[in-house]
Amino acid sequence: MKWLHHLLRGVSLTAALFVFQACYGSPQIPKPDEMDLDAVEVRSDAASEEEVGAEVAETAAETVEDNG
Amino acid sequence: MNPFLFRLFRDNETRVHELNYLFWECTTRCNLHCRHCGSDCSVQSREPDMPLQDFLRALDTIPPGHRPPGFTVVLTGGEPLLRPDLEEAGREIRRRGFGWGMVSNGYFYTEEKQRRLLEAGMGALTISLDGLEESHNWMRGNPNGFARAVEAIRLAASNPRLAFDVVTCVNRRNLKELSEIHRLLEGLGVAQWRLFTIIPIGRAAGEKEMHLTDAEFVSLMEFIREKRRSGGSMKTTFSCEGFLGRYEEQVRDVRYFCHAGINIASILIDGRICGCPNIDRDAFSQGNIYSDNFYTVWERRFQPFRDRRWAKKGSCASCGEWRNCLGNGMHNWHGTCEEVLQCHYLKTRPSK
Repeated sequence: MKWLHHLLRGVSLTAALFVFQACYGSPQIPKPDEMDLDAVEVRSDAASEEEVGAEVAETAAETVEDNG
Repeated sequence: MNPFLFRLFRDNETRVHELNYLFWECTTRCNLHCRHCGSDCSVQSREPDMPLQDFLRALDTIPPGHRPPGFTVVLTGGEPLLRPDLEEAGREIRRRGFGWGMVSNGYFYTEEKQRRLLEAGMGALTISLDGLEESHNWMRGNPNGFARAVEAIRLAASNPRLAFDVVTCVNRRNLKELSEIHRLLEGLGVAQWRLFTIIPIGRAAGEKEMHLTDAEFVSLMEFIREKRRSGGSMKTTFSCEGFLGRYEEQVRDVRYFCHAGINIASILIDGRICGCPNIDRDAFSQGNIYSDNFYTVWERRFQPFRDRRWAKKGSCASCGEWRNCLGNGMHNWHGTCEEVLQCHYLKTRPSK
């Protein structure tokens, strides 16, 4: 019954029923359109994309492959 | 909530089966080699990353009228941060009106990376922390894993725009560290901490230290209940992995409801369409984006997820909690599906 689904969704008290989270997933984003895309700070000493890329190989070498 | 009313709600949601949470297993490459990995991911994966355009073609099959507010695409793996086109993927997902989030080990989550991901519209993030330093690094197989994860958590928790939480896989080794992890995360400004346990699949199947005894599981429930009662700045919850009997509504906000195949789908690395990625993909995949229309599969298949009477067998056949549990989470059924892999209700029964 879609009408019941929409009715319940519209009642704020039941919102927790709908904002679920899969066992291994990230939280849901209730209202993605309200995200403030400008609220981002930038720091000048952050790592560059190239630095991060080089680290992938480095980490792989550190990681114990027979961990299981 | 009254169990009867909740069952009415659950059954109605099942009939409506509105898709609003989609996993994309975008890579099975991973820079770490975790003991509990359900996917057996590795640095050199056998499967190539799924091309972004292939995923987008599947996403575009969802009609505009079937994209409810809050529809969230969750990038998972493997380690999503290893994808070189992650920001492009995020932007394309946002451009289509979906929110998107990611599950990460945090190793490569730097301030610059966060800035780029936020610019690409990332709205949700989960970072894994599996213990204090020694336990986490043992679990993750990397001596720097803990330090990097903590730094990522500090960074993410400081950004009010992100729906952010930390997830911890509780095992026999880190069980005694939970109070200290709680203090650490509160100190880092984390608002939500989610705990789960491991199911004996993938790499974790042969790891005895991964699996809590029944008494240990009950102590985990008591820990979460106590933290929720005592309040504090951080909400502690148990994941939706199974029906918890007397702990229902004590350790989570709402009663148990496995949303797999009812609201949740996944597009797996090889194109298969399933419920959550930790569900047995050989037994329960419903189609493949390379041969089927994704949304048609969602609408017309998924019967084993939406009518779970097939699971009323083995120890579930005569269980008095069947109507509340429906055979536990779908990820607890594997292989020939003759018996549920684990029963959280039995673990928590007072008589045990």
